[in-house]
Amino acid sequence: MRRFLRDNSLTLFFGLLCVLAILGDAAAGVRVFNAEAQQHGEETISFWRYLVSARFGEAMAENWQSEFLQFSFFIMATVWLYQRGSVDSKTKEDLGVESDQKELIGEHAKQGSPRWAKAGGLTTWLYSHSLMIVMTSFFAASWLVHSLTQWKMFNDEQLAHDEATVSWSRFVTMPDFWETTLQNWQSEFMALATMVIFSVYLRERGSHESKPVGEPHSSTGRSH
Amino acid sequence: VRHVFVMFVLWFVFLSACLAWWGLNALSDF
Repeated sequence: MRRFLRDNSLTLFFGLLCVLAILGDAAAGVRVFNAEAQQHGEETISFWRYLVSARFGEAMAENWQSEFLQFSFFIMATVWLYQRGSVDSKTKEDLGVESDQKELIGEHAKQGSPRWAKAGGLTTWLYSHSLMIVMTSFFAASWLVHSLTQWKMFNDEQLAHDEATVSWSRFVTMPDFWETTLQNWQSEFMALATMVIFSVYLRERGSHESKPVGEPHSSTGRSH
Repeated sequence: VRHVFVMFVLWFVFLSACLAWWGLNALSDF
């Protein structure tokens, strides 16, 4: 157990913060929901009921989809694009998908390499892109959930005002949907651009997200 | 290392379960 905690502390730290933030948001969200319900003379709901509501799911999935989009873009863009001096960029010579030798693929696999890196063919191709495949799959799933939950809420609102409901396929072309979607996307792209360029000149001693304090601004990447 | 793989699987399942939960609730909710 001790070993489990020590060897996974980075994931556990963020995982725990994530769960606490989700619960905190639900606790705040149910109060907001109930305050509005009371204003309109409607029934209030319990915390547990709120956890299964479309309103809560919408709040969560809206943010999740943009995070998975961010990582998908970052993983892909850093294969091909370059920022001189950034800790998040590869060196100019290394841009692109790299050689099998450098990627330890097939005959170049070493002792302890994943079996799928040695296998060759489709297996190795799939494994070579597994991070991207999984991230974009989670993006697609959370985007779908976001659209479904927001669509549900939109139609409830329409019904409450005696207005016509819309189909899901119609809803995902409406400005109501794209306003919240793009609100989230812009902040992710802002964060990426900021991290990429700030890490050229700014430092945090000891952090993997920083170059060594004394490393020249012109040094690109992590391996110095 | 097995206990790191357990962490990986746990997190993967957590993400999938959350999304499935919110998605299914949306389809059956108010």
